[in-house]
Amino acid sequence: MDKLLLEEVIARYKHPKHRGDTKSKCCKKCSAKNLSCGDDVVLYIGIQSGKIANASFNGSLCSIANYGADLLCESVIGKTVGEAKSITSQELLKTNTGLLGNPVRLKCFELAQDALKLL
Amino acid sequence: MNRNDFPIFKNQPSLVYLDSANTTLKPQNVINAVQNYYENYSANIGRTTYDISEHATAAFNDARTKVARFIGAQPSEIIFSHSATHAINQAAFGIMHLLQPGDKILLTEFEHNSNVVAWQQVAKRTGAKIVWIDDNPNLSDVKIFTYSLVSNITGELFDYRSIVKNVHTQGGLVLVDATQAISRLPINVDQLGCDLLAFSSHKMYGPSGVGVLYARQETMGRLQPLVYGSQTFVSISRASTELLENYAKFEPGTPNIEGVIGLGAAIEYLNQVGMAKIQQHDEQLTTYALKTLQNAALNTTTRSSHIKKQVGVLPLPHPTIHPHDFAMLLNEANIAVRAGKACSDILMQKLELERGVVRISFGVYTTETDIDKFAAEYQEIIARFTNG
Repeated sequence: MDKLLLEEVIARYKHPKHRGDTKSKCCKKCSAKNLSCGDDVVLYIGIQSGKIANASFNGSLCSIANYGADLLCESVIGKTVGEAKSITSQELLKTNTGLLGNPVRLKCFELAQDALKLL
Repeated sequence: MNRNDFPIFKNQPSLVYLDSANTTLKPQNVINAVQNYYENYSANIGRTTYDISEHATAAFNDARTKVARFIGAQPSEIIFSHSATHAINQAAFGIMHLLQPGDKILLTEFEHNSNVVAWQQVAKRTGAKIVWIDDNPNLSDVKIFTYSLVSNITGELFDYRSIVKNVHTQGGLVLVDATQAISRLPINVDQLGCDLLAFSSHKMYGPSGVGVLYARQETMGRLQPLVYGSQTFVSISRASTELLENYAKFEPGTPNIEGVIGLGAAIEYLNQVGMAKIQQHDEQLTTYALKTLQNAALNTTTRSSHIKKQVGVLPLPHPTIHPHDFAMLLNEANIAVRAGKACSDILMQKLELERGVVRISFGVYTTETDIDKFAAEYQEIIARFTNG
């Protein structure tokens, strides 16, 4: 994996920007579990005037799943649920495309996206 | 101990390979045997009489003899399959017709998923009942007992001879999954007292795509084929087929010829190094790793009265850092390990390790330096994930 991406993944693992339980502001909740590795994620999605106003996540996640969840929560703000569901890994990773070629870890990265699709 | 025999280390000099329980690396003589077949006599076997076909048939038969001698069996008791999983399925579905509703199939919590799923399917089809040894079940009506000789997670070597005796007294059959044990210690089917024994080539320095099912002569007579096809019968007509009454009826179609020949070469290699020496090497490395890694390795000393010792496989659980994160960062240092549940979900559920473990496992090429590099990197990863 690209060294800079790895550093960012670990930094986000230690200091995630959107990790936490925002039940008080939350309108909707969705979750997903990776049965092969035991990871699970819960997304808390707050909706105001038809758009996502706040998003956070919690759960038991590896660093890559944590990274995917954190980036997803960051990028859904201001979007409709439909728009948020259509966000792709490529859009989240931008130029850090190395992960796209690793199907096992990509599955980890997409765990939060899998949860959001169930909303 | 034998690093120079493995050309991968010339091509990947910095590789620290600690995943031999997953698959072993291949020595030069195995690579040569497969290449020699392709380059000099790559014909089909047992069907034609030209020279290169006769050569291939002889080499294939020779490999069967080597396999048999390696485990103290007769060549006629060896069935080649595609994998250990396939061999286990051949055993399970081959004796399914002997089971009645209510019969018990006894499993241990240490089984690889392959040795669970097949039996659950057999139980579903027959009405037989799966019972687990750690539940201390009543052993009456146990018709099948199957166990891993060495756990693929904990590396523990088991001795179930008292239960084997009990099952045999009732007329039951015993299948040993020797997949992890076969490359780590001398195996003798008579000493084990088993009726069936399964293992794979790729975990014993041979090519992938080949498994072995040993079936004691009288057990083979009771076994039904899992797959049917050509080269398995005495006669065939529009009305019916009369099957052979030997191992050939379990090997329809063209087998993995080069794989079996490669397996024969792997056995030559293991015999040349010496199984007693390999076992000693494994045990020394295990002791060294347990000492070097101190409290990181799972404590495996108290769970089963049937455990004899630990050989060549160590699980390392961590309370917070995901095994896949360890594996990802170890890979950055060119250290190869297995991470996760390693196809042993039942044991992981019992140990409440839903995310699994980092598993390190040794081969004849593993050195104490490999373990030192791993230990240093393992500690470094913990620091990277927890500091700052």
